[in-house]
Amino acid sequence: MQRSLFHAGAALVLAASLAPPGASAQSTAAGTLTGSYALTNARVVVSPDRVLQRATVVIRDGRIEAVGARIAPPRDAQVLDLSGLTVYPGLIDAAATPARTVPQPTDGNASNLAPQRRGVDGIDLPETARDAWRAAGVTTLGLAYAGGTDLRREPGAQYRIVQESEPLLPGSTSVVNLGAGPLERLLVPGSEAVQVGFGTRTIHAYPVTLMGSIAFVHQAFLDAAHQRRVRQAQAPGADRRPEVAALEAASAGEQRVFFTVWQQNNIRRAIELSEELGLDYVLLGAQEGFRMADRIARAGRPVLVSLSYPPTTQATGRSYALDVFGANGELHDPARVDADLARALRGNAATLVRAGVPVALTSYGLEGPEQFRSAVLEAVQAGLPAAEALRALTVTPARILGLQDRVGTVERGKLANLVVAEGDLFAPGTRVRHVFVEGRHHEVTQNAPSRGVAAETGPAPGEREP
Amino acid sequence: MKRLREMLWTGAALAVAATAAPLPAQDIAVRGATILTVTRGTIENGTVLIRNGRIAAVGPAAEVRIPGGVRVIDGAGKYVMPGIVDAHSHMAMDGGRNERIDVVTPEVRVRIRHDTMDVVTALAGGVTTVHVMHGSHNVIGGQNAVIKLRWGRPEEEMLFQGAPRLLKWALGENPMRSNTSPPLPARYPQTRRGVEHTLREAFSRAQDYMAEWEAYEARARTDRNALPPRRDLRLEALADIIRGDILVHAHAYRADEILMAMRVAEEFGFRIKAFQHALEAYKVANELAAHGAAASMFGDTWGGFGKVETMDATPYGAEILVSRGVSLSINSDSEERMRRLFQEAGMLTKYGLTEEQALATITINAATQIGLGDRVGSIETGKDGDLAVFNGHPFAPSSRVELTVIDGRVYFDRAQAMTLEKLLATPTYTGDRR
Repeated sequence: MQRSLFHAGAALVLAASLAPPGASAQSTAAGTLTGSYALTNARVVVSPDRVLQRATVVIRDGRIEAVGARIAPPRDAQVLDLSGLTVYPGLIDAAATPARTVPQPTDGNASNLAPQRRGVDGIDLPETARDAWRAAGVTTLGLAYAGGTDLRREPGAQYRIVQESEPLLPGSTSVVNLGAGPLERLLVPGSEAVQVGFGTRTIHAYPVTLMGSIAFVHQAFLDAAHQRRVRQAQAPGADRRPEVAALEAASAGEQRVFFTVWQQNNIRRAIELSEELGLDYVLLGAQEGFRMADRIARAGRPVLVSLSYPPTTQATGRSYALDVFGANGELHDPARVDADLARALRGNAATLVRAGVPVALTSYGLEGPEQFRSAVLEAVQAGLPAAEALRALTVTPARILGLQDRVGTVERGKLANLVVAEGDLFAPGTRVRHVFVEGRHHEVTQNAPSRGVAAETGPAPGEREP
Repeated sequence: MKRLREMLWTGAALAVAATAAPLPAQDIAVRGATILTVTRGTIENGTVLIRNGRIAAVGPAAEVRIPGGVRVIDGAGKYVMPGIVDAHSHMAMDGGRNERIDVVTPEVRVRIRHDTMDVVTALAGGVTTVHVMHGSHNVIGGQNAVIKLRWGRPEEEMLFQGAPRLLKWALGENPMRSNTSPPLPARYPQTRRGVEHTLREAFSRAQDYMAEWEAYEARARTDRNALPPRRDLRLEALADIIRGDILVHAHAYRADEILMAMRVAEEFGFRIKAFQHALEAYKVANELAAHGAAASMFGDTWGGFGKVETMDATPYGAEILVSRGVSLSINSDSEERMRRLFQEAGMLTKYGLTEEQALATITINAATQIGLGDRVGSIETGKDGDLAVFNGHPFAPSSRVELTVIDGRVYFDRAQAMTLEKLLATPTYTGDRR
C-alpha cells in the first residue's frame, strides 16, 4: 500500500493533497489545547497547486479548522490581520543532521549494524536552534544520522570524502514537530525510517571496502528477514539482538528505508539492491542523480535530495573533461570544468524534477537551517521552479514520512503548522514573520533576510587531485 | 588549433551532461589490411566487416563485400588483430581492492569506477576486454569483474554482459604477509599450511551449507511450513565454486602450492580455471594439463618482487607450458604495462613461442581463461566486433595502435586523440603539471 503511493503521478499527488484529510488525523506530541487564531486578509498557499487571495485561516486546538475566502473569524479567536503577507504550509526537512552530543562510535570493533539507535538520541535541540529552523520556515524536522556514507562535511570546512568510523546502518530517523518542550514529547511516532548506506571505512573490522560494504548491507537485510521468519514460526534459534530486531520490519518492506548514496554508480547499486531485497526505500542524498535521472525515474521511488554538495574533484565524470585531452591549463581549464560541475550539481533537484522523479529537499549534511534556506534558494536559481521547491518541502516529504494526512498543506483538519512570510518564500530577501507549530504561535527572533550564498565549487582553480 | 580546442570543450560538456541512452551498435569495415585472425591464420590484403557490433565477414579483400553506408577504414599498410584481452588487472576498481580483514570473502563483488583515466591509456594500447580482479590479500578473495573499455559509458554498460562469474584466490606469500596492523592481532594464516587449511575449512563449511539447504528442500516438498535455513552470501558463493558456477583464478607462484590448490579443488569436486602469475608452473606443466588448468603469466617481467617465491621464475617457462598443452596468457597486472601488453607478448617470441602462439597469449587464450573464448579473442565471423588496428606488426618495436574498436564503435583514434606530439606542438603547453 505504501509502496504504491509513489508510483502515482503528479496528478494523483495533487488529487490526494486536495482531498479532505481523514478523521484519522490525531493530535501529536504534547496534545495540549491551544487558543484559536484567525489569520485574515492573507494570501494563502494551500498547496503547490492552489493559492487563495485575501483568505482566512482559522486555527483551533492545534489544527486548521477552516480555510477560505469568505470565512468569518470565530468570536473567540485572536485575529491577526495578515494583509500583504503570505501563509504557507510549514516546511518539512525529512533528514536533517544536527550536531549530536552522543559521540559516534570510534571503537575499532564498533558494529556496522545499529538500526536500533533512534535519530533523536543524543540530540539536544535548544530553543534557539528550533527558532532558527522556524525562521527558515521549517516546522517538521526529521533527525537523521550523518553516518552510513562516505560523504561528510568536516566542521567548518569544505565537504570532503572521508573514511568514516560510523556504522553502515547508523540508526533510524526520528521526526519531530518543532514546538516547545522536550524533544521526546514532540516525536511523531510511525514515521521512523531505517538508514543505510555504502561507506568505506578505516575501522579494523569487516567490511573495509565498498564491495564489502555492499555485501554487508545485503547480508544484514537477509539476516533480519530470516530472523523474522524464525520468530514468526516460533522456531528455536531466534536471534534476539536489538540491532537485528530493529531491521525486521524494513527487511520485509514494512518500514521505510532511507538509502544514503551520492555517487552515480552507488545510486544505481542502491536501487538494484533495494529492488532485489524488496525494500520500501527512498534514496537520500543522491547528489549525482542528475547523471542518471531517467534510471531513477524508472525506479518509481521518491528521492530525498540533499543540498549538501560533494567537492567537484570527487564528482563522477570530471576526468572526462580534465585529463583525456592533455595536461595544459589553457586546454582544459580546471576552474571552468569545476564551475560546470558545480552548476550541474546545484541543478540536480531541477533535473530530477524534470525527469518526473518525486523530489523532496533536505539539509542532510548541511550545518543548519540558514545554510539550508540559502541552498534552497540556490536550487531555485539553478532551475527548480518555486512551486516545485514548495512541493519538495511540503507535500513530497510529508508522503515520504507517511504524514500526508497531517502536514504538508493548508487544509482543514491538518495540523496547524504554518509559516507567514512577507512574500515569496523562495525569493531572496523574504523574511518569515510568524510561525505556527501545532497551533502554537512562535515569535521569529532570528529573522535575518534569506539570501543566496556563494556556491562552493570545490577546490581552488588549478588544484588537482594528486 | 581552433578545431582542437572545440574538440576539447566538447569533452568538457560531455562530462557534465547526464548520461545518455545506451549506444546503438555500429557498422565499420577495415579494408585491405593484414589481418591477424589468431585462430584462422593471417590474411594478407584482407577485409574485416563489422555489422551491428559483431564481425559479419572476414576474408581476402576481393571476397568480402562491404555494403553501402558502412564506414570504411583504409587498411593499406596496417595490421588488424583482435582487441587485446588482459587476463589480470586491478584497473578502475571502485572503493578498494582488498576486502582484507577477513581472509575468506567470496561474497564481495568487484565494482568499477567507469571514469578512471587508465581506461584511455589502455585503449591507446589496443586493449578492449579486461579481467578486473580482487586483490591478493585474501586466500579466497572476491568475485571479479570483466569489463569492456567502453570509455564514457557508466559502470553497468562497461560490464561484459554474459561473462561468467570469476573469483580470485591467492596462495603463498601475499595472503601470508597481508597482515593486519595494530590494534588487530596478526591475521591467520601465516604459513602455506595455514593457507591450505583455510581453503579446506571454507569448502567444508560450504559442503555443510549445501547439505543443509538440500535437507530443507527435501522437507519443503512435504511440509509447506518448513523454515528455510539462513541465507549466507559467503557460503553461497563458496557453494557456487563447488558447483562450477564460479570459475577460480588462483594467484600462485610456487609449484608445490599449485599442486596443493589442484588437490584441494579435486577433493571438493571442482577445477581451478587458471593460475595467475604461475612462475613455477613450468615445473608442473603436465599436472596443469591433466587438471585442465591454464596459466596466466607476465611477459618477461621477472624478479624485482622481493619475494623468495619468485626466485625460480624463467621466461622460458612459457614455452614449456605451451608445449605441454597448457593454455597460456600474458597479463599486465598493471595499468602501465596494459598499454603495451602487445610488446610484452611479443617478447615471448625470443623465448621460444611462435608469433601465432605469442599473439594467442593476449587474445584467444586470455579470453578462454575468463570463459569468453566464444565471444572475443579472435577475428571470426559472429564474434564481437573488437579490433586493434596497428600501423605495423604488433610485435615490431616501432608499431603503435592507430584505432581501437569495441562492438564496431571506435573508442580510440590516434588521428583525433591528444597525443604527445600534438601536446608539444601546442604553444601554451608548459609541461606536465602532475
